[in-house]
Amino acid sequence: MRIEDLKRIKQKVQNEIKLREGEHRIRVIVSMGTCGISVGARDVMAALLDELSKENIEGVAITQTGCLGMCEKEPNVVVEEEGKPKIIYGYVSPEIARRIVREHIKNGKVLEEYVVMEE
Amino acid sequence: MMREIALHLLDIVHNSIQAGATLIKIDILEKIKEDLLIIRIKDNGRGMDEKEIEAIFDPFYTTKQKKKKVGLGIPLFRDTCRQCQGDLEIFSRKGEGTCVQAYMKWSHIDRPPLVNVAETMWVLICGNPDVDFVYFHCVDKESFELDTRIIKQEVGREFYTHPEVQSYIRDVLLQGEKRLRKIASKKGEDLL
Repeated sequence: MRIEDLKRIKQKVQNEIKLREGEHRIRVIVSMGTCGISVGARDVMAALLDELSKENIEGVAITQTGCLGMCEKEPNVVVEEEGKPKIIYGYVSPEIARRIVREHIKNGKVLEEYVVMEE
Repeated sequence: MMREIALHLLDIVHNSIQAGATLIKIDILEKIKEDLLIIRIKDNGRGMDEKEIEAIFDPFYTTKQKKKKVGLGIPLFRDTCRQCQGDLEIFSRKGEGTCVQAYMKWSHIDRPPLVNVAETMWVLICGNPDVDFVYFHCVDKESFELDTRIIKQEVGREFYTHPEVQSYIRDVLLQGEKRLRKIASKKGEDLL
């Protein structure tokens, strides 16, 4: 880690960020209890983060939470968007996670076949 | 059993986050000369009293009144340590924080590999932007350190979650870990 690198990134990001509003419009939550972790939640979360930066999508907050109580359907990914029903995906693999970013978050198309709950 | 030590780490650190920690120090000490691996996670969360500490070693412990649920994570990790001639200890004081220390024989045949510590740390850092992490990993005298407080200070809190900053953090972690892994596997060969 070098301080000059951080300064350079800040400069770059500062210029870009003027173009958009600050608030997060979508929240993505990865369930990371012991159950989720043991079946690959970490790799799912890494895939989400990676795909978001590849697709250059901003305004999305990714956070982690504990067990959702659906251990048998882990890894679970929750997508919360203002004014829309909360979508919970189950049995998510890193590949499905990338599709969630490209299809759901970017284009608003829910991946019906992997939805385990809608609230 | 988890396939990677890194996954145990991810699991245990989650307890710290749930306990309201704002600063979490993570040490991975590979003392290959002494044939010892130590994983230490120290937080400033709400802490526990002796009764609570005892209870979390019980995998089926639960009380409805308690907001904090502690499940299988700690007993699972302790089992792994004990299989590898080590143990897991918890030091905690109510209101001050908790320290979980796990140690095991580095060269033990049953010891799971560390594997992807870089990705684990990356996921923790990006998934919990309000928490500060001080990560330290050493292989004997060679070491790697990452302090998110410095990153926040330099890039500013408002840009800390920007994808550009996040992928920078990943690169730093990957590079640091790769270097240590090389050193460790070379030293490990001498040991066996």
